Amino acid sequence: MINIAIQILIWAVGIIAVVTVNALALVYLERKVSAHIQCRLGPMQVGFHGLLQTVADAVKLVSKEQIIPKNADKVLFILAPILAFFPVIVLFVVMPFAPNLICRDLNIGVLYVFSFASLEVIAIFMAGWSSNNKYSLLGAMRSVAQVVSYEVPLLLAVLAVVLVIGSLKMSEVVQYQHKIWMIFLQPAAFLIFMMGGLADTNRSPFDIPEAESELIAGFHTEYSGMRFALFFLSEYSNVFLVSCIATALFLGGWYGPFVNGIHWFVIKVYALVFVMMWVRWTLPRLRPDQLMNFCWKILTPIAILNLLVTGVVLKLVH
Amino acid sequence: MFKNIKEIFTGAWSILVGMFITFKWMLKRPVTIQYPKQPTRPSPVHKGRIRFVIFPATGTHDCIACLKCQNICPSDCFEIKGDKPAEGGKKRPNFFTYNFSNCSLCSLCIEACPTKTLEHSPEFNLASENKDDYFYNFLNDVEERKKKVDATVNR
Repeated sequence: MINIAIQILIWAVGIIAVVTVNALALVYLERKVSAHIQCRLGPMQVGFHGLLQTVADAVKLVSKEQIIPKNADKVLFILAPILAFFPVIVLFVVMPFAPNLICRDLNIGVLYVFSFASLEVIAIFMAGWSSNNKYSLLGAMRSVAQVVSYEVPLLLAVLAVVLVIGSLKMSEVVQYQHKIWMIFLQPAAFLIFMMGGLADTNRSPFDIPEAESELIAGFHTEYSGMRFALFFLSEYSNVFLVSCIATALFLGGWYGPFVNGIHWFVIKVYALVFVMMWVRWTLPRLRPDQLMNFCWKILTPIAILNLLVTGVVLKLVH
Repeated sequence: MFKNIKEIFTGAWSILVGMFITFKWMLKRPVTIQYPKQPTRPSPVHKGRIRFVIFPATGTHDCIACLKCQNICPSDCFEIKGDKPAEGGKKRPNFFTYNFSNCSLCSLCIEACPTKTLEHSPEFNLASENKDDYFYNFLNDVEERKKKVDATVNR
């Protein structure tokens, strides 16, 4: 009993530490990648090549005043950032970092991941609704429409993968790929998953919920201080988590040339994160109607077709 | 149907081309510099404040205190007094101030100067908290610059 309690405590502290440090690293990486793509230098002043810049930003955000607008719905306004951050920590529970490094290897791991990931949209809508601000509400409405739509092709793509593997357990999903990675069996599903992941995390080119040029900051326009930092933290952790899930489902998790282990998982995850940043600083933002057309007219039919073909091929093989 | 599928593929190809271009630019040297730490040079056509030309032949300016610059200046920047030297020869200025805070850098004085002894300086970081810093005494200024030139030559 004591053993289990200590284990849970260590995992909880470890997960929170990973989430925070990782978000700081990703913000720094994002700023550097964007700077070098635009032929700039990026942060250079705080620490060696600006390495401590995000730490300084975090200190600034923590020490700032937390403003609650006069006509805001206070309970929802305070709860929204907490609810946005909650799924991030919960999702780390089933991430298969290495053969012996899974907090809880649930039988329904994949289902668990996507059910908690869809909680994010409720937090975003709470934030947008409670702020009592037209920009927040518009951003939140767009976000709900976008995330709910893009979950359809995303889950259909994951369904094809689960169909091939025949298990929802994260460790079995990874172990299935020790010979051949799932990306070579299901390339279309991987592409659909990454596009859906970009849309689910509200990142460019699907970042209309926070489109800076028209909505200021979208759903978190009214937030300041630590509450804003929580939204920021959950946004970057979501990027990390989508890359983690893609690595586990498609890129063979901890398997790689030479020695298998957590280092291959981390390398693959950061490569995917870099690709997501690279896409962000290359492509312009889509219009809302283009976004919906792209989801319902292109991605969903392809995902259904992919699922159909997978099913037929599996039936023929067995 | 066929047209739509073709459109999807051309669109995907254009995305790949765009990604390749941004990756290529990411590997290039940044064009920006860390300005106050790293020194920089202004453009060769930069128009800074007005100053005297130091002619290499004579080692000094060639102002004859004709007051043409003072007369043509639309903002009344110059205050010049000059006399003929006792030993004879050209008239020379003995008082020459220039007010940079009024100057609109229109270059009319440079065009009007008969001896071509006025020019724009390449200096660019001239900001100051003190209004008096913008009154330049050209005769002192020329002496200081001559010293600097001597120092670099002798070194």
